[in-house]
Amino acid sequence: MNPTPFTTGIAASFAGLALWVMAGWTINRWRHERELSALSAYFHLASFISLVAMTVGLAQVLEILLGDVMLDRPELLGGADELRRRLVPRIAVVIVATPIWAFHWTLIQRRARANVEEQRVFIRTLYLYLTLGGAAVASLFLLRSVVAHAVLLFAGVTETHSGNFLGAVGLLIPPLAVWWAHWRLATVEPPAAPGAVVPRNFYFYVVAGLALFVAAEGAAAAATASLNALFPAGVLLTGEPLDLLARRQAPALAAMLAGTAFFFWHWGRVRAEPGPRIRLAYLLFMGAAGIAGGLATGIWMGREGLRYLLGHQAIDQWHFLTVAIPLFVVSGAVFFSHRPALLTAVSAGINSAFVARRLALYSLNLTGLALGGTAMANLIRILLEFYTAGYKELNRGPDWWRDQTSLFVVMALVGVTIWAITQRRLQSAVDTGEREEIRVWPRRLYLYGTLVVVLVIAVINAVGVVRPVIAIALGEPYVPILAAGLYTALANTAIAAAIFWYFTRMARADRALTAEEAEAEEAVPESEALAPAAESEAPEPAPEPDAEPRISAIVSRGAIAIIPRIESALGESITLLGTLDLSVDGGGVELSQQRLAELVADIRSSPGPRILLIISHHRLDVIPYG
Amino acid sequence: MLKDRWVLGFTAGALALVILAILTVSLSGGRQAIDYPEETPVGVVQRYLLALEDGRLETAREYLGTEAEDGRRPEIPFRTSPEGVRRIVLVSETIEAETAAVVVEISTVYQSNDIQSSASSNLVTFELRLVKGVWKIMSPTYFPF
Repeated sequence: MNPTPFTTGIAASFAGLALWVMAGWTINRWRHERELSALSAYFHLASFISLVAMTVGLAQVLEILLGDVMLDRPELLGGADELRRRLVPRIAVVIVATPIWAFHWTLIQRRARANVEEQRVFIRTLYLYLTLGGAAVASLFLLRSVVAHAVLLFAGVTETHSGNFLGAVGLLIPPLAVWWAHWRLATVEPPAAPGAVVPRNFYFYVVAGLALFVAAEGAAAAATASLNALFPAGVLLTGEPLDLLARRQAPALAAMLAGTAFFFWHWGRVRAEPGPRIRLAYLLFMGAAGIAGGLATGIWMGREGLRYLLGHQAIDQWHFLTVAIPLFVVSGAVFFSHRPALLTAVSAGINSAFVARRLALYSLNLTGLALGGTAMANLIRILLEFYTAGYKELNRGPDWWRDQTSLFVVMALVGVTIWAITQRRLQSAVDTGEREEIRVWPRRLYLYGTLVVVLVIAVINAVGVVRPVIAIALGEPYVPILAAGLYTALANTAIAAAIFWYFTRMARADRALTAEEAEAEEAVPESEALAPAAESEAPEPAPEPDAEPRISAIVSRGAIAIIPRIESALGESITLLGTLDLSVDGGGVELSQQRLAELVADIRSSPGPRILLIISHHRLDVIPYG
Repeated sequence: MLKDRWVLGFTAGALALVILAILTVSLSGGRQAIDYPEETPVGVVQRYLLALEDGRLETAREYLGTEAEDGRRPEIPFRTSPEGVRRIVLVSETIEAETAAVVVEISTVYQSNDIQSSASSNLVTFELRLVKGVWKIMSPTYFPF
C-alpha cells in the first residue's frame, strides 16, 4: 500500500474541515456582533439561494421560448428531442426553486410586518443590496448582449437572426424584474441598522465602477475598430469592409451604451451622498485605473518609438497606434473625470482622507520602484548577455535585442521618474517627524510588505545564481542557455538586494523615531515620580477640558451617514454620543448643500466652547454648552 | 402590500412560464426537420450531417468532394459524443453558378447527469462545388460537431 495518497487525503480533508470551522466561527462571530438571529439569517440565505436559482431557470426558459420556439427556423436536424432535452432541466429548476423562494420570502415579510424592528435588521438591508447587486451586474452584461444583437441585426450581418436577439431579451427579463422589485423595496426601506449603509454604498459604487469599466472598454474598442477601418494594416483579402466593421462595432457600441446607462444611473444616486471610506476607495481605484492605463499605453508608445529609432522596420510599424491611442484617451478620460472629486475627497480634514493621500503616494512610489527595478534588472541581463554570450550563441536575432532594449529603457525612464518625484514628497512628509506619518498603515504596508516581497525575490534568484555555479563546478558542461539563466538570476538578485538594503535603512530610521517617542512618553511618569512630595500629595487635578470632544451628536438611526458629511464640510471630527430610536423619531434626514452650509456656519458661530448636535427627521439643533 | 404583490407576481409569472414551456415541449412532437431535396446544396449538407450523426462514415464520405490529383476523398476524423443531442438550423444558403456556401448553426446539449446539462452552439460554413451535376462538400472536412 502506498501511504502517500492516503496521508495526502487525510491532510486535505483536515485542511478543508479546518477551513469550514474557521469560516463558521467567523460568520458566527460576525452574526453576534451584528445581533443577527440564526433564524433570520437562515430565512434570508434560503430566500437568496432559491431566488437566484429561480431567476436563472426562468431566464433560460424564456431564452429558449423566445429565441427558438417563437420563430420558425429551418431545421436540418434535431426537432422535439433537442427541445425537450434543453427545456426539461430548466423547467425542473423553476418548479423546485419558485415555491421555496415564495415560502421563505413570505415568512420574512410576515415577520417584518409583525415586528417593525425586524424590518430594520442589518441582514435585510444586506439581502436587498446583495440581490440588487447580483441582478444589476447580470442585467448589465445581458443588456450589452441585447444591444449587440440588435446592432448586428440592424446592420444585416448574415449569421444574425431575430432569434438571437429575442433569446437575449428573454435572458434579460427575469434579472431585470428581480432588480426592479428589490429596488422598489430598497427605496421604501432606507438602511436603518448600524452599519447598514455600507452594503448600500458598496452596491452603488461597485456597480457604477463596473459599468464604467464596461463603457470604457467599449469606447476603446469602438474607436480602435473605426481607426482600423480608416487605417487598415494591409489589403483586405476576404470579406466586406462594412460587414467586418459592423461585427467589431456591435459589441463595442453595446458595451459603451449599456455601461454608460448603468454608470450614470448609479453614480447619479451616490454622487452627492456621504460615505467617506467607500467613496475614497472608489475614487482612488478609478484614479489608479486611469493612471495604470495611461502608463501602460505611454510605455507601449515610447517603446515602439525607440524601437523604430534603433532600426526596427515593419510594414505595420505604426498600426499599434489604432489600439494604443484609444486606450490612452479612454484611460485619461477615466482619470480626469474623477480627478476633481478625488482631490476634494482627499483634501478633507478627516483621518481617512489623510490615509488615502498617503496610500496614493506610497502606491505611486511602489509602481515607480517596481517598473524601474524590473527594467534595471533586465537591462543588466541584456548587457551581460550581449557582451559575453552574444546573440548568435543564444540564437536571438537583432530584432529581439531592439525589442528588449527599447522596452526596458522606456520602462526604466518612466519608473525612475515616478519614483524620484514621489520619493521627494514622501521624504518631505516623513521628515516632519510626526507620529501619524510614521504609523499610518499605508507606510507600514509599503515598508514591510516591500521588504518581504523583495526578500523572497532575492532568495529565489540567489538560488538561481548558486545552482549553475555549483553545477558547472561539479562537471556540468557550460552551455549559453545556462549562462543566460545565471545572468537573469544575478541581475534580479543585485536589484532586489539594493532595494532590500534601502528599505531596511528606512525601516531602521522609522524604528529609531518611534523609539524616541516611546522614551519621551515613558520619561513623563519618571519625572513625576521625582517631583516634591507636596506636589505628589496635591489633590488630583480635574480632567483637562480639551479631553472632552468639542462637537458631539445624537442622531436618529437612519441618519448616521450624515455625520461624515458634516465632518467633511466642517473639517472637524464629531463624536457620536448615541442614536435616537426610530420608532420614536424615525425617517431619513434630507440635508441639502445649502442647509449643510447653514449648519456649518451655525456651528462655527456658536458662542459656547462645546456643541451638541441633535439630528433627526423632525429636528436639527445646534446647542452650545460648557 | 407591495411585497405580497411581488411574491404573487413572480410566482404567477413563473407558473405561467412553466405551463407554457411544458405545453411547448408536449406540442413539439410535430416539430420535425425539413427534408431538403438532395439536388440542392442544403440537401447535400443535411444528408452529410445526418450520416455523421448516425455514424455512417462511408455514406458521409460520399458527399465530400475529391482531391485534385489522386481522386481520393479526405478522411473524416470520427469522434462520438453519445450524450449530446443536436439541433442543426439553416442560417443561410448562397449559390453562385458552380459554387455554393451553406451556413448552419449547430447547437448541442450535453446531459452530464440527471440534474445538470450544458449547451454549446457554433456556426459552420460549408463550401460546395458542382461536380458533374452533383453538389459536393469541399470544406470543412473536419468533424463539424
